Amino acid sequence: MFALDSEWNLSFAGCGFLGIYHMGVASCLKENAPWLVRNARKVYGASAGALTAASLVSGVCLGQSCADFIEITKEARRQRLGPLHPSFNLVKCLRQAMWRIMPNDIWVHVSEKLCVSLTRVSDGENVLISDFSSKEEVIQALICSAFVPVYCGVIPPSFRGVRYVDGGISDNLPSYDLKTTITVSPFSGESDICPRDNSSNFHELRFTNTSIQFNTGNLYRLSRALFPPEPKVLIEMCKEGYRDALRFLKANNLLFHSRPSLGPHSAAVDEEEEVIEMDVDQHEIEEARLLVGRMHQTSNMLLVRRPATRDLESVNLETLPPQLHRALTEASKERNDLLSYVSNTLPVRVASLLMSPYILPIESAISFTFRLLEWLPDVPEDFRWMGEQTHRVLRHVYLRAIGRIGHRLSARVSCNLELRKCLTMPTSVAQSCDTSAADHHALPLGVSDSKLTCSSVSDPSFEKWVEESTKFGFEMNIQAGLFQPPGAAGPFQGRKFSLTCSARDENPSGPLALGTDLHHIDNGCMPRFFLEDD
Amino acid sequence: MAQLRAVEERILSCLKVPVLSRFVPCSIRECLWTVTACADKKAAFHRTPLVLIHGFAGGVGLWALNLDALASRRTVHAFDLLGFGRSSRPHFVHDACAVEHCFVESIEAWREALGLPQMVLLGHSLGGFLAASYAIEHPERVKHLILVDPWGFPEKPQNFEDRLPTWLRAAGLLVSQFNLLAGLRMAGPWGPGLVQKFRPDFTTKFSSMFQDDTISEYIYHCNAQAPSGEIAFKTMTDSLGWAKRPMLQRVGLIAPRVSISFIYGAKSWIDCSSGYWTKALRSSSCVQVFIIQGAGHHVYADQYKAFNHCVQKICDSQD
Repeated sequence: MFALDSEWNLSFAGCGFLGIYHMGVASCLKENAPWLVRNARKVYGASAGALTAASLVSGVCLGQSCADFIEITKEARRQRLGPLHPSFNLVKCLRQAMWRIMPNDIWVHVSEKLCVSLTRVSDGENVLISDFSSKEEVIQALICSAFVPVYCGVIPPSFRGVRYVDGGISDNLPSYDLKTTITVSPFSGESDICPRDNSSNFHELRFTNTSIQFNTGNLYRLSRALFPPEPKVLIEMCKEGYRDALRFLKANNLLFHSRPSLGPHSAAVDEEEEVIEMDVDQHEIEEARLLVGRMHQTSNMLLVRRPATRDLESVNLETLPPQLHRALTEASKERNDLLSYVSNTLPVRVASLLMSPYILPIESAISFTFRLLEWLPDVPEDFRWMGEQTHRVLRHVYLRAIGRIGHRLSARVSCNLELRKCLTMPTSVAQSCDTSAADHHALPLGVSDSKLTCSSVSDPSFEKWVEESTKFGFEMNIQAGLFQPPGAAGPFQGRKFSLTCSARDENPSGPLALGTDLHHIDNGCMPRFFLEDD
Repeated sequence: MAQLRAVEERILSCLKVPVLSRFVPCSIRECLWTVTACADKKAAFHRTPLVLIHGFAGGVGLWALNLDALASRRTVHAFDLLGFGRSSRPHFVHDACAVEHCFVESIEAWREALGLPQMVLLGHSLGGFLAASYAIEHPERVKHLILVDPWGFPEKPQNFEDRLPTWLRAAGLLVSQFNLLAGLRMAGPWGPGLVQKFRPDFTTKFSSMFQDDTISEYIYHCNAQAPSGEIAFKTMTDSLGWAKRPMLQRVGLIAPRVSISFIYGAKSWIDCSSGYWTKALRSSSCVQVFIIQGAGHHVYADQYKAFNHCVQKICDSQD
């Protein structure tokens, strides 16, 4: 299925706090098939998937990332309002964690390999970024990709001067070509590595490329994507990811050596092993290609025998790499001191619940002040951006309004002009307009104002009308004086106006013959007239 | 209906094989919309015809990528199930057993009307379930049974619901009260856009044949009409997708001389273990399991070349 003899990609779906699942998958890939990651052409990622992709590509210690991840979720769960509490700043937490754990030369490792999915704010288009020139840029791109609007804040972060938000909005599972991309998603569906919910439900939704099966398990996961569950559940998800990845590797014969689970070992040992693996790597790939080639030769389809799938999985139930497992359990440990014990007793919890309406505003005020202070350096840029945005919105509204007013005025002119069966205006009408004040009021206000002509002429669709009208042969002159203000020898006296007429209907039944009763062209194809100072 | 006909005609006009389409009566009041394709009548004469049964919310148009290849040497009949696509949309009773029987009898009457002595029966998803059910009741008419990602085989685990939080169970219960595609019909003029929005994959699956969103339009019009087959399906399901009468319990009832082939998509969530279970349960008869790599639930469209090749091979092994 994956043309391993040519090239392949990896893609991690965006999923908010379910990103811990990706960590499990990543650790499995790193442990059992490191060549699959190292030789992948690109590693795509959106949102939380991008974070995992970055750690995987850069070779950051996954145990450390997992521990930090759990720390962040604990931070998010600390308050009663969860991640919505104003004191929780996800972007800041992420940024700090990434600065801490990522190596300084990360951009060298991830450039051209890591591909981060972003959504451009200005037009909602998907953008894939894969070239980075500094650690700061890598982190900024990842922050942009993880920035869920409103949830994380109001002002979207910028990357190289362009504002971006969560990549999941436009493309949650980016891939260059689906057939050669190994897709990883924590939602059960049609991704390559995803939980199997063992449900026989076949209703499925696609959320910007991510296949999500319509079942209760996924409903639960979706609800947990932005509101993290307990660390215990997160660890389960991590294990699930590890298991699913392992199952994928086994099913596709990508697992070539099953390393026995080693005892606890230090990071240094791990690194040594990495080096050794680098040497065997080439050999492994040759082996893989041979096998895959043989597979392809025998048949396009694989007659796979999986006799005892159950015990295959149960054996590997606890095979999270020991280092990762230790990091996870340590991170998830609740504090067991006196303070936490006291705060967990019922009276204290009730008291804190009752107090929350009073405490919340104070806390909010404090955290807002802090945020404001942190925001200060960015204020000029953000304000400039907001100014630009407001300007754009206003301009858009203005243009539309102008367009509409122009339409309405010209429509009014057309309604009020009494045009009889012939296209030349009967002089009697003109004269009656001229003399009686009541009739004059029948004409729209300002009709005699030459500005009207100008505004109509400046109407953007005017040119189109002119085009149409010439197509139908409606171009004629009427005598001026028609729109003369009563009792005054106005500026229009004796001047010529050209009257342009066209039908609004896109497909009129045929060219209107001269002499047609224009009043019959009804139902939205009211003829339009333009007064143009000749 | 007129729009559905127009879209379907557009789809069928892309086929290379000559296609005959008409309504075939399956009872006094009801008839099934049937499409018959055959490229080489001479070669097809001695071969058992292949009958395709589509899955839930589908129709004959979804076989667009397969008819050309499958009909090259063999007559292929594809029909819209009762209550789906362009077929009649009767009111089904609210009893899982009776509904299943109703479907089976409609297929049997259809076969009789066409005068087919025997057929190779291929069913996808819900169609797979019904094909298996048909084979239980009329084994003499089935030369070979091909089940493509069949729905409704495994049993619902005992403690399935205990593991879920309460609010989720409540939500599940609430959702199961409604017809799943009701939202689509309620959306009115936005319906086709909704299909395109939530299932853009169909357009990509069929992109080798149609560049525009013909297929999502087709799916929309298939399901924009009064729900009938959909209600029948709901009657046969139990809490979001499990079958009330799982087929795995009854697969032993199919006469041993009917050989069965399972075709699964490797990415699909339909558990291929039921294929292996069937193999274990029917040790006295021939059961094969094929897994097509890189394909999801809609195997016939995801990897249509591999699928066609596989089905042809299976059919050729019969006659």
